[in-house]
This record gives sequence, structure tokens and C-alpha cells, in this order.
Amino acid sequence: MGYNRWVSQSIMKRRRSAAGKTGKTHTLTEEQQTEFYFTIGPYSKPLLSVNPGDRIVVDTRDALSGRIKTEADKPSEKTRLLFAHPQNGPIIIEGAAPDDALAVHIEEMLPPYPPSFGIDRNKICHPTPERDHIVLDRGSALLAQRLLIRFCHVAIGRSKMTIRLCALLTGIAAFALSAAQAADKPPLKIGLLEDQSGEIALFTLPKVHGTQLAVEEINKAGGIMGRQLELIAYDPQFDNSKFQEFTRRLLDKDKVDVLFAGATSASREAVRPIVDNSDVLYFYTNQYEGGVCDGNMIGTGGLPEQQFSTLIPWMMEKYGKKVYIIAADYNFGQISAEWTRKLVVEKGGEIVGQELIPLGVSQFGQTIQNIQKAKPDWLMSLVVGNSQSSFYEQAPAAGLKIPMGSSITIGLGFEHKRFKPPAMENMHVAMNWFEELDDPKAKEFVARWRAKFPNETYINDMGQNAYAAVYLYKKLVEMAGSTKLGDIRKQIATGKACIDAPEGQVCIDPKSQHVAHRMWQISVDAAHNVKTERSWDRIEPYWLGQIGCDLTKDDPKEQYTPSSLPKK
Amino acid sequence: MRAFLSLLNGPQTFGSSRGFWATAIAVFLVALLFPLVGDGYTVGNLAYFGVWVFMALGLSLIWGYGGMLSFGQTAFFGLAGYSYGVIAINLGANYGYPVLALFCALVIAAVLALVLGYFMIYGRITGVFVGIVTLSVTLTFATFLNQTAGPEWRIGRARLNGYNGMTRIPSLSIPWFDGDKITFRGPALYYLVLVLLVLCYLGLRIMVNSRFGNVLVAIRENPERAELLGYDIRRYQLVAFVVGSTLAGLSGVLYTAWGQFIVPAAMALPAAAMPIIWVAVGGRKDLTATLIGTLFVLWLFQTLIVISQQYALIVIGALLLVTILVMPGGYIVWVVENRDAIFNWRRHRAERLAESRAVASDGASE
Amino acid sequence: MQPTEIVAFVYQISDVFAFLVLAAAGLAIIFGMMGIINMAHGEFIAMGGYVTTYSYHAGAPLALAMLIGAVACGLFGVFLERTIVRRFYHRPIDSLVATWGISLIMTQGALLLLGSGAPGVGTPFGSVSFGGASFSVYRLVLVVVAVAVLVGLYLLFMKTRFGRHARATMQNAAMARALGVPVNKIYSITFGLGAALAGLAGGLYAPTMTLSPMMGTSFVIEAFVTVVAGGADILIGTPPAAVALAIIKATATAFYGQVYGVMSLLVAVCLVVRLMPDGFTGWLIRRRS
Repeated sequence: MGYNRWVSQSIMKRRRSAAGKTGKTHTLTEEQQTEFYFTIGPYSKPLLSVNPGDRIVVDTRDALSGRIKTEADKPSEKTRLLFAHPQNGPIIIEGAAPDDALAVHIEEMLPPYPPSFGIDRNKICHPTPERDHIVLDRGSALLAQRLLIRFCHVAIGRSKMTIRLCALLTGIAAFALSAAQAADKPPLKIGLLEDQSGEIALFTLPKVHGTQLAVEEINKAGGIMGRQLELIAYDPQFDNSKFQEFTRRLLDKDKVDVLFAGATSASREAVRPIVDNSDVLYFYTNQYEGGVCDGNMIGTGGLPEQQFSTLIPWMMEKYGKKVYIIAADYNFGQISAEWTRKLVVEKGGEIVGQELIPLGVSQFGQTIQNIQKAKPDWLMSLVVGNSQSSFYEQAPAAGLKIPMGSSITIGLGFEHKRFKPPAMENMHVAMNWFEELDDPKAKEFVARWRAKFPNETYINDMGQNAYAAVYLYKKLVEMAGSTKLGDIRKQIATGKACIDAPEGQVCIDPKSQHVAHRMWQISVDAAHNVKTERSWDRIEPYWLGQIGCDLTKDDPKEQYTPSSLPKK
Repeated sequence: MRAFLSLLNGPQTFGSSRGFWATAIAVFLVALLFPLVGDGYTVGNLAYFGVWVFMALGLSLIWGYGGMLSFGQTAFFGLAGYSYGVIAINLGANYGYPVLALFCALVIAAVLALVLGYFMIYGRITGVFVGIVTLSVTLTFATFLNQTAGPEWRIGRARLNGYNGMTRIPSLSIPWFDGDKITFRGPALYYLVLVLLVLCYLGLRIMVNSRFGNVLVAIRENPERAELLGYDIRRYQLVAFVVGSTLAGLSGVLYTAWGQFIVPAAMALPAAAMPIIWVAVGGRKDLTATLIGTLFVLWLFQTLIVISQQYALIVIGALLLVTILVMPGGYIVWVVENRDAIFNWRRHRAERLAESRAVASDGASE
Repeated sequence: MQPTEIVAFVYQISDVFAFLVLAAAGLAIIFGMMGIINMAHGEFIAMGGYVTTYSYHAGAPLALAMLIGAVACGLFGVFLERTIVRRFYHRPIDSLVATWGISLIMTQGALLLLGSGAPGVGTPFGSVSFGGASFSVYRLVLVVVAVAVLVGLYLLFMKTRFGRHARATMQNAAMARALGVPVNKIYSITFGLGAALAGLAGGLYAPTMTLSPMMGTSFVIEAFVTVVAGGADILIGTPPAAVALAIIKATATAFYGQVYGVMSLLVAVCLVVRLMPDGFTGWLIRRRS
């Protein structure tokens, strides 16, 4: 990072007319450029006008305008050598006059992705004399197959890089070289432990895909601090003792630098004691009942305070104050039911009935009858698992049509894709991610995912969380400049560990080491279309901090629940 | 004492020769010295495998020697694990309390096995019904424990915590000099498991080769005949059931102490089937075969998952099916019983050939 | 209790009764005939559910799809019996293990080939209201089907030649064989029939449930309990057992919740095995004589 410091001390920065401020960012795409020029002179008309301090992002072409695509192409046939080195621009700088000095700061230079023609991102590192024999990977155009130019992280001034920009360098644009370091650095090992087969594999496979996608993207962009990511994954098949076995393997044998593991709370609790005895960072990327206060762990899924405090007031306002709860009879269901009770009563509502259903039950005749008898305004449904989700089929069949709220359907279980309409009609959910989000960044992410995994049934919240978590890890390592747990935790404590995930911005809360989310609320119609109702920019994971968990001060490595609070 | 030790060899166990015992001692020495050369992960992994062997030995006793297929091993595994957890959390990790917790958990498992065994065996439940009843009991416990997530489900300081399982259970530790203590993790746990394994193995050998074992095997072969000969078969079956189930409890305690965690899913259906697979492959009829077979299948399963993830369970299922079809007694048992035929097959073939020639020439000369 | 409550309660009992009968029929036949507990029963149910759903999505009307599901499972059952199961008639405990292995392979194989979920069918027929509560008509249909299955089995075993042969084999296989009954064929057909009934149960309940390779497990416990309580004879033992257990479960669920409903069955099986080891069959036979 030496050259950044040099730049900030330079005359260029200190005395420029833009007074150190960065202005607007312009783009100069190929469409805007229309036609390329091959010489500097008064023969061309200005395309773009900018002010000092502005920034321009330019799409450039390679030296031969992409005419050479294979080794069989002969330059003598395909090119007209007078017309080489197409230039971008011209770009006019307002207020520039003869005798002025023009300072251009190149911020970043990135090869095109996906590689069309030109240089493949992964492979460029050392500048070599044979630079004109540009190398490429399979599927891309190339001049010579045998030579490899490696794309290096270079500081201006040190550079012998002569990749021709072929852009008119009058812009106050910035392209910096942010490519992979020389490939002498060992890879960063990412441990992944998610079910790829077994009872819940349908829901956890997106986690594996999300992680794979993130790793691939990060590696193509140069890895983390110049180190490529190596993904080591095992399939614990929904067996807690396998989670323990393979966690030990990843930590002791494969010696991973970071661990992403577990969908159910049970598997997380199986893994945590083992990770806690090491100094490896552990990401738990599922929504759950909350309450884990553990310095080794970062929880990136949705939490009850984020999901219920957004959904319940809305449901009560829209549908009424009488609520019936059905919940799976285990920790997650019971605690979620508790949160629901608490919030409904706080807002002046009434719980007209509650039923806890053992896991594995699939017949709901009596339950449906009980609900009908109690006549609630709406139903909070916290049923979990394939068997229990039969409820959504049996209820409308029995004529029970009632608005429903949940913290796990649609976004996590994608019932709207698995059940025949209109089983999920009138279901309302608040979560940090749905595949159908009406947001450009989300849509672009979905497109990238489906390009790589075209057969994915649904990109659920844990899939997006898994993807974002890898980027969160990248941010943490870059902030800390190291992969050591202690250094990373110091960065978390600053409260500035944020990234722009597909869902929106997410930040790690220093006290609880859980994540503040952008929350979205959706509703499902009779045809199983998903409509975005509302969104909240940032809901903090406030509960743990409130009850006294402060990981910046001490590390109890406990899980708390509303009925099992830390001892004061 | 000499008479006692002489029971180490007998008709119910394989391996009575000098060669066998020399090999066994050699293996033991290698195992003893292994942590000095092996890496931490492998030592821990071997200790982890060792933890499960007690349950397999117990099932071998109940099923292989006693003839009762019990699905209840995992029930006692889980119950002992939970008992250990409850007691250890309440008493704490110091002053050797975890060891006390271990003994108490084993006693609890034994008592429960006594009650269930009495109910079943003195109720004349036999054959497949033993499997059904033990499976139902196992599932009842698992279902019940699954819904104990609420805060009211606690024993002293220990919350049962339902489906997510009991966590923060102290490891086994014993007090040592200078106020310090040895916590059984890593190599220490490895040695503990090794010593316990040797003790249990030798103890079981003595047990099955004694009069008790002979009667037990007789009951397995033909319960009616044994009864007609004057033995109260219920008593022998009950003892075998209790001992075997307590061994499963030992596995449960060691597992819980190792992972500091126990969960109802450890008793659910897929888990309940695993001991049967281990024991079936090696050979349930013999302790040594069970021991080797269990370690082999555990290693195989782990390797399969590392290599081929989802196919592991299919391969294991196929292995079980093929084994029970072709070698219902288990592979190791088959090899040992037929070792004469296997290793001397050439000689036997020559002998048979010579014999048939002799017969032919006899015939020709007539 | 008010009339609506009584009606509702009777509905619940009938609903549970239908579930128990349909879940247990296949298992009971195989157990009654051959003394084998088929641990792959749940997987046959799942298979029936899947074949039904896929046939339905391929265009077959629902009833036909269910029949296809049942027949497919029946044929697969015959195949399994011929290749694997018949080697275990002399060793019932080993048969438990063998069918367990089959079950593992089927579940994992389905998981691999089909993924762990598939689009469902949707419950037909809508609902009917009575006094503030509404009931799914389809579930009433299931009650009728369950009774029809029992009647059909009665007719099959009592009024047909096959039935006579089958009963003879159940009573004394060696003698039946000596008298010329093709015992091996009877075993094959019976196993196939049991598998077909399991497939039918899966097909019937598929529209009301989530489809997954593990869906059979939610039937298995109930099926086991009913078979054990019923005893060896499906005609004498299973119906009263199903009624008794349905009353127990429905009552427990209605007054104490689903947890106690499930546990009541498990406790019941333990008591039945202790007090009535031959199930209802033995008890009724003893009473008759």
C-alpha cells in the first residue's frame, strides 16, 4: 500500500484545483464511445466533459481491437496496422487551459470479466519482455498459447507494466492495479461443513453453492490479500457426531483458517465446543433463535429481534390483535413462540392459543380444528421440517384460510416453489433475503448465481448468507491485515466491519458479533407470487447487547435465551 | 487367579494360540507408543473411534452371544450421556467429580437396563419383538428428550435443552498433584480409551469363556433345550442384557465427555442402526471379530464420506445387505472359521484330486 | 359435549384410524405371512408417494396415478422378495437387518437421484363445514378407502383361492407345500401385495404432505405400533387394534397436545407387548375358544 501514501503526499494531491475532493463519477462505456480513434489531434469531437476532481470509469479495448481471436488468426490478414491502439475519449476538462499541468491518478485497472478477449484475470502477474504475446486461458482469444504473463499488484512508479490502456489519458480518471499478488503466497483454507445429502440437504445445498460462488469470484478478483482461497468441504449428512468428527478434521488435519459450518442449532452447538478450543474463526450463517455470545463465532443469519419486531406490528395492524401460534416443539420453535408472545402482548394483542408440535409429526387434523375453534385474526406458524410443513397443505384443504406469519417460510423453506398454489396464500414473512427482492443489486446477484447454478430450485436466505459471509471474512482479513482471530476481533470491535451484500449493507455488531441486517417483508398471493411490502434499512441485533453480552469486554462462550439470561 | 486368567482362552472366542496373543501384545504396544509418533489429529481420531467400540462389544454380547437383537444400545448410550452431563454440570469439573459422574452414569444405565430387561425378558418377549420393543423405547426417549427445550426442563443446574442438546459439559478430568488436574483430551483421552478398551475386552473374554458364557451360547442356539436342561434362561439373558447395555452407556459417557455435548438425535433411528452394521460386518459371534470389524467400518465410513460424500451411506447400506446375505456371521468370523480351508486350499485341492484318482483307479480295476 | 364437538371428535378418531390402517396394512400382511418385519416399509411408502406424484404431473388423473404408484411398488416388492428377502425366512432377525440395509440404500438413492424435495400434488376435493369447524373432504374419503382396503383384504383372503392358499401357508407352510400349494409363489405375491399397500398409502397421503425421500418415516412408527398391537392376523387383529390406538391417540392429542399423542402410541406398544404379546389376534382367539 506504499504508493497510496506517496500519492496522498504528492503535489498532485495537495495542490490540485479540485482541492482534494473527489467529484462525480462518470462512465465512458463502449456504447457512449461509439467510434474509436487511433490518433490524438483535433480531428475528433469531445465525448465527455468533466470537472477537476472527477472520476471516470472507462471501458477500454485491447490494442488490436479484438480482431485476433485465435492462434490461427494472422495479424497481416486481420488487422490494419495503422489502425491499432484504439483510444477512448476525448474527454474535456472544464477550466483547463494551456500551461496547466494535468494530474491523472489511476485508481484501478481491471481486466474484463467474464473474459471476452484480452487478458484473463487469473493469469497476469509479471511484466515480461514478451508482453505483446498476450496470454490467455481457454475460451478466450489469444495471440500465443505458450506464454504466461502474470498480472501483478503494482504501484505506479514501480511499474514496468505496459499493458496498453489505449485510453486517452487526459481524464482525471483513476485506474489502479489491483490484481493478484505474485503466486508465491500460500492459499487461504476455507473449511465448509454443510449437508450435501440427508434430510435437509434441499435447504443447505444453496449454502454450499453460495460459498463456492463467492470463493470463485474472490479468486478471480485476486483472492484475499493476494492469497487464493482453497475450499475444503465435507458432507456431515445431518449427523451431529459427523459434524464433530469433521470439524476436528478441518481444524487439526486440514488446518483451515476459517470455518463455515452448520445449519441447525444442534449442529452449531456440536461444533462450537471444538472450535472454542482452537483459535479459528467460525461463521454460523443461519437464522436461528439467537443468544450465542461467543468470541470465536460470528452469526450472520437473521435473529428473532430482527424478524419478529418488524413483522408482528405490521400483522397486528393489518389483520388484528388475536393471534394463534403453532410452533415446532424444540428450542427454535419454543423461543420463537416466546418472542411472538412477548411482542404481541406488548402491542396490546392477545394470544388465543398456542400449540407445540413434535418434530416429525405430519398429520394436523386436531391442530386445524383447534385453530378454527379459537378464531384468531391471524396465525404465527413456526413449523419446521418436511413433515411439519405438511400443515400448509392440510390447512387450506380443510378450509382453514387465515393470514399467516412466519420467520422461516418462503425465504428459507421456499414452500411457494414446492407446494401447489394456493397453499401458501396470505403468508407474510420478514427476513433479510428473498430471491424475488425488487432491488437491482439483488437481481444482479441472482443472475450471477443462476448463471453458475442453473438448476437451483431457490436461492434461500442461508444461501445468500453463506455467500455474503465469505465476503465478510474477506473484509475482516483485509481490515486486520491478518487472519489471526485476535486481530480480526479487534477490527470487529471498531464496529466498522461492513460489506455490501446482495441483501443490502450488513455490519457486524461489536457486542454480540452478530450482524445488523437490511430486513425485507414480503407477502405471498394465491398464485404463489412474492410481493415486497416493506424494507427496513438497518435492524441491529440488539437483544444480546441488551441482556449483557459484550464480547469487546469478555467472552463467556454461552448461549442465552429469554428464560436463561446471564447471571448479573 | 490362575483359573480366572485361563478363561481368557476358551471355546467362545477366537484366538487362543501363542501366536494370537503375541500379535495382540504387539498391537497393544504399537497402540501405546503411537501418540509419540503420530500427529495430533490421528491420535484424536483413533480415540474417537475407540469410544464407539464399547457399544459394539456390548451388542456383540447381547446379540452375538445371547441371540437377542437389541436396538436399545443407542438408548443407553444417550441416557448415560445425559446422566453424565447432568451430574457433571451440577457438580463441576474439579475434585475428580467428572469421574464420579462417569460411575454414576454407568450405574444409572445399568439400573435402567435391569428394569427394561426384566420387563422384556421376564415377560417372555423373544425374537423380533425384542428388537421392536427396544426400538420403541429408544424412539420414546428420543422423542421425549426432543421436546425438553423449555426452561422448566432442568435437573439442578443442567438444562436438558431439547433438540439442540446439552452443551458445556465438562470433560473427564482427575485431580493430580499440585492442585492441578489432568483433563482427558487428546493423548490423555487416547490412553484412557485404550486402557478401558483392553480391560473391557479381556473382561468380556473371561466372561464368555466361563460357565456363564457357555450357558449363554447354549441359550442362543436353542432356548428351549437350555431350559429343559434346567437353566433359568431369563437370568442369563438378563445379565447379558445389562452388561451389554452398560457397555453402551460407557460409550455414551466417553462420547459426551469427548465432545462436551449430547443430543437426542444420538438416539434416533439412523444412529440406532449403526452398531448393528459395525457388529454385523466383523462378526457378532466373536469379540475380537467385533472389535476389528467395528474399527474397520468406522474408518471406512469416515473415508467414504471424505471421498464421496453422498454415496457413503449407500455404500454402507449395500455393505450391510451383502454382508447379511453372503456372510451373515461376519467376514472376520468366516475367515477365521475357514482359515484352514483358505490357507491350505492348494493342499486340500491336491488331496481331493488324489482321492478322486484313487477312487477312479479302484473303480477301473474292478 | 355438544354435538359439533362430538362430530369433530369422531372425525379425528376416524382420521387417525384411516392413517393407522393404511400405514400398517402392508407391514401387517408381510409380518403375518412371513414373520418378517420389513424395515424398508417407510421407503415403500415414499416410493408410492413419488411415483404417484410424478405420474400425476405427467398427466394421469389422480386416482390412476395412485394405482400406478401401488402397482409399481408391488412389482418392486416382488423383485426384492425374489432376489433378497426369500433367503431370510429361516432367520427373522437377520431379515430385519437385511431390510434395514435395503431401506438405507433406497433412502440415500432416492435422495441422490431425486433430490430431497419435489413439487407436490395438492389436496383434492376442498372442504365441508359443520358447525363452525370445517373438514377436508379428502380426509373423509381416506377413511372410506381405509375401510375399503380392509373389506377388500377380507374378501381376498376369505373368498378367493389365493386367499385360501395364503391362509394355509400362514398356518403351516410345510404342510401347505406338501399339499401342493406353491408356497414360494405365495410368498412373492404376498410381499408384493404388502409393498403395493405401502405404496398405496404413500400415494393416498402424498397430496396432503410434503414430498421427500424421508416422508415414510412419519408413517413407520404408527405402522409398527399397529402391527404389534394387532398381532399376526391382519383380518382379526388389525382393525380392532387400529380402532383402539386411534381412540388413544386422538384423545391424547385432543386433550394434551401432539407430544402426548405421539408418546401415547410408543408407550402403548410397550404395554401391549408385555400384556398381550400376541396382540389383539391372540387375545381375540383366546376369547373365542
